[in-house]
Amino acid sequence: MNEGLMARKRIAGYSMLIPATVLFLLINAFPLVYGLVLSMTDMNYTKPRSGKFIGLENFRSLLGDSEFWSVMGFTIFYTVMVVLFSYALGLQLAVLLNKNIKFRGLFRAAALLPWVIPAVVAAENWRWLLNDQLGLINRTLMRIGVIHEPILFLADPDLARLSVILVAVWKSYPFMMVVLLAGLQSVDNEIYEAACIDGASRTRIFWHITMPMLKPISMICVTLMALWTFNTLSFDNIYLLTQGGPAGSTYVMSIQSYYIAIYRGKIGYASAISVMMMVIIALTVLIYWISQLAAARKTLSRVGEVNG
Amino acid sequence: MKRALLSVLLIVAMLTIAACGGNSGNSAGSGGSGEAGSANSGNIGGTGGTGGTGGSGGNGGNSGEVAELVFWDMMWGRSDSYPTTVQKLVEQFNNEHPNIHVTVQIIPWDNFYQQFLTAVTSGAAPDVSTGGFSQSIQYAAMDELIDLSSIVEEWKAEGFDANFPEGSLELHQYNGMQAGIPWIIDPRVITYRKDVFEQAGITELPSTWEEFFEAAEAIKSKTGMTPLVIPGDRDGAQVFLSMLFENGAGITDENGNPNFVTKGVEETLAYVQTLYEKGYIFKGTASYTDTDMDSKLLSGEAAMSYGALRTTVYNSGDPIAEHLGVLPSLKSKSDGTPRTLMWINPIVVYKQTKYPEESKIFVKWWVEHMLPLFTEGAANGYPAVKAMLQDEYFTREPYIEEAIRNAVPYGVPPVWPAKNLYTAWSIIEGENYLGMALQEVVTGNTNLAGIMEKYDKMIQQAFNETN
Repeated sequence: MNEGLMARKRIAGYSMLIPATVLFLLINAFPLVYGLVLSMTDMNYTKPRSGKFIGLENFRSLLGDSEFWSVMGFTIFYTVMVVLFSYALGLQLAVLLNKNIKFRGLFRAAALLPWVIPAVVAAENWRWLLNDQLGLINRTLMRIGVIHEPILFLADPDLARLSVILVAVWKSYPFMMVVLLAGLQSVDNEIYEAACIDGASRTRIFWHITMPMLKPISMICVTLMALWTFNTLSFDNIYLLTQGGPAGSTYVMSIQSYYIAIYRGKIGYASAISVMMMVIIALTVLIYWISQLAAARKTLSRVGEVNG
Repeated sequence: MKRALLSVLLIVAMLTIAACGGNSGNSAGSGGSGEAGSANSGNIGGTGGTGGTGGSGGNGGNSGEVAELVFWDMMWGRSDSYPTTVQKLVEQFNNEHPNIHVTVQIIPWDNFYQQFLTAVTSGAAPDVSTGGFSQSIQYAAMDELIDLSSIVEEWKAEGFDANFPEGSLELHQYNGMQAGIPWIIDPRVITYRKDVFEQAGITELPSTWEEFFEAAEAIKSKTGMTPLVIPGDRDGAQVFLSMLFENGAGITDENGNPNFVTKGVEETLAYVQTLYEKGYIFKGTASYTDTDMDSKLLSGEAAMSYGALRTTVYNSGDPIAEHLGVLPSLKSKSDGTPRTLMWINPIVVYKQTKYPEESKIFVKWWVEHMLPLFTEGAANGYPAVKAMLQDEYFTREPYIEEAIRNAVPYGVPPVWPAKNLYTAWSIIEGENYLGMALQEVVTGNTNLAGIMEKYDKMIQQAFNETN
């Protein structure tokens, strides 16, 4: 009778999973599989009779395309810079806002604003701020005499690259801050007290206590931010700010895939670019997972040695 | 047992609700899935662009029942006047044709290319639409449009066809079929401030590149203003193309074969380079949009702008509006014929329509009666029907009248010197090759031969991919 009851409970439980599973399959699995299939065809919207299976031909063309390598290079550079700087800024703010200061709650809420502002609104405002003639930043700097000529934030190719990174960091740091703040609050105060009693300086406390304690949560938020930046933020942010310009200097893989699909109609080739993005992300996650496994094994063997 | 049954019932209920919510209002008309778009008022006033409305609903059009047509019109004019004018005109058509009922949706220009492509390829195309210049050829090549030759034949019998700009009907033909009917022409013009020209002591309007440099230098030295503002985004491609035409150059030769490595193209790149290096255009040009052009004019930082008519500035009520004029189209020394880019955009009927004959009736009527779109709706551009240009609306406003006098007669389509639209145009325009070439020059790249070769390669590839 117990077995029957358990079986019924299991059935009920699995049945509850059906809606979510169907949704997942429709929204996630189907587009993923279809995209993989499309990447191995010559499907072109502008050519009604296209759609033949061509194997890995799209990938061969892609790997032989110098423009693709250049775009991939900037995409990776963009992702690394955004993650690095948003982590650094988020960590700094998390450490500050973890202290018992007046109006801490207000500061925490204010620091979250970039995260909650819709991407379109944020990008449009940044375009106005960064405008060379009428933008607030240039006008203020010129008025106080820091510069005599406007800075071409979005018109100079090199500066445009820095500008899109800057805006992405501004958009991303609240996430890092919130996650790292949660991590900091989980660190036992007694450890800091013990370190203080032992005479450790603030710098030593930060590097030898705070950072190691934050390592697990840091790995998670860095990985998530890298995935998100590589996939989504690169498109939203750059498409809204510069559309990949000026002169293609801020082209990233997601925008390249989009333009090829929409304007050239080469949906097969564009899907191949998306698959390459997925491969890069998968490799990154794999490397992270292997490093975590290696670190865990090392820790286990040390524990084993200590225990004799 | 009871719990399992309850669980299953709950799941079925949830799935049912989800299914019903996704399919409510589905007209399942010729356009395929999507929400019904029969409520006119919900789709007017600049709120269109949902892209969710499929083609017409209802049953066959020959059975005596009312043919429901969905018409996608772009936001061709101001949001406070154009949509209501369109709605009024559509209602007039509906009243005059009791067996046809047209529902119109106003589509914004932002991402229109993606919206149309998605709609057509997913079977959710409207019955009729206006849209981008190359929409006729692009969708004809995809076998998604119907032949409108019968309309042209009727006009020939009526003598109405003589109203269209020379070559404009042929421009929108594809493999012998009339893919689109030209309805609006939209030249690119150099808007200038007459008061600034006076202040700079310019008494004769420039008509050549050399004279333009002289005028620009006078403005810069005597007024401190930047002489010219041009866009650097996708609209910059249009300005660069117009400058190529001024110099007798184009993307192809007269037979439509790609030909971007020419003396004419190199001279035009050099012309832009001179404008940039001498400070006749802003250093930040590469990032400028149409909005930046308006703001530079209104703020008094620029004396001229090159692009679409500045109707926003002209109708803004700002004091500078009364000083705006349009320069005559320029010519270069090497070519000697003034030209300017002129968009000649089509209205098309999609094959997905269930009512092709009714759609053609609507298109013919629309083109014949579209004058209010300009006189009341303030559409940006002019009617492609010459007789309508005689209306006093186009003669009483000095700025509009000057554009008609100084630009329209010299307007050539974007594919000039080719006679017909080619399918590679949608790639060249969509991926903004000319805009990127302009951006390279205005961000300091001085290797003009390298720029020419780079974009020639891309243009050649576009032709290879579409042939």
